[in-house]
Amino acid sequence: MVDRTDERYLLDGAWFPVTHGITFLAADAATCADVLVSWRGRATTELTGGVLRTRRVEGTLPELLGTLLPLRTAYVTRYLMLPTAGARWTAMLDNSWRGSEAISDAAGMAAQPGGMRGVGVVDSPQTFDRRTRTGWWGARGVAVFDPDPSATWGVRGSSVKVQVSDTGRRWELTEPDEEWPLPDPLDRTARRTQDTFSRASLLRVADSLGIRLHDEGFYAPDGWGVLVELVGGRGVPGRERTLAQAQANEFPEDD
Amino acid sequence: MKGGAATTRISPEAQQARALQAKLDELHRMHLDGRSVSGARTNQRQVGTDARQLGLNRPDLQYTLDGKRYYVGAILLLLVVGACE
Repeated sequence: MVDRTDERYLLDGAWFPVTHGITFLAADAATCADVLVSWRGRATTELTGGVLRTRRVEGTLPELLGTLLPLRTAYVTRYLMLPTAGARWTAMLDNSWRGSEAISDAAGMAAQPGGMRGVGVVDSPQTFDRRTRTGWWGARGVAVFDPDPSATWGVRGSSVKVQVSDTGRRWELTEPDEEWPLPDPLDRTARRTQDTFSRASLLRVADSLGIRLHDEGFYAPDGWGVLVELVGGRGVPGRERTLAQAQANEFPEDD
Repeated sequence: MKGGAATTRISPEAQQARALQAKLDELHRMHLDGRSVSGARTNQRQVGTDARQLGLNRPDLQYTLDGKRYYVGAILLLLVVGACE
């Protein structure tokens, strides 16, 4: 039996950290874009004076991801909705230089009027070196949230995650609570914290939901997506980053 | 444990935990209302909006709200809850 613990990442990691977190939404791309604009539009306009606009973009997967550039440090200004094979899910990514906050975005989209099931997936290799303080903190996690108007936040669901602590010394586990809607994903016999939710477990959960996380052919099978972008206004806090700067964890001296 | 229904004293640790949860709930509500909330960390080393480490101190809570980074200590958290009650 082949244990799916391979170290492969989407596009071989070439678009990390953009692909660090992906939110999968159970609706078509246009609907997802509309819900996102109704969710984030008013607050974005109040803060920046600009508006969120949607437009269709076309190309290969790397070209579509390229429409998110440049990346930003403090405030997201672009979101990309990608249809997926089988049309069950729309994948949502954004231009945060650390990758999207997929788990909280899944809850946010599910909680909106007209919202849908949201699955947030985070999957990053552990490359952080605590001596040089370079690289990225390893993390993997899954969240599943469903709309539920009777729930406190208008959403019901839970998440499971392991991630490297800020010091880089240890892994920390966030266990799913009673609202986790799938079979227990944890190996409670594992000796190391990071092995209680292994990459194999992450891929099993994704597979069970029909999500082919690291398969390039899964995303934008017809070569198009919907870009939601901030247009006009007074500008936003933070700085631009190129993909290379983000990958190098680079901080210019004038920052 | 001593005390019962007539005893309402709450340990400082419990008060702090409750205050922290109240602040996290407030941030969650703002997030669901469309505000930009990201990079929330509890009891971890202080970092800026760009994730660069700013010091060895460990605020009880740090987060980025609408593009600005905030750092909150225990005393401020208790004040937040006190103002809500």
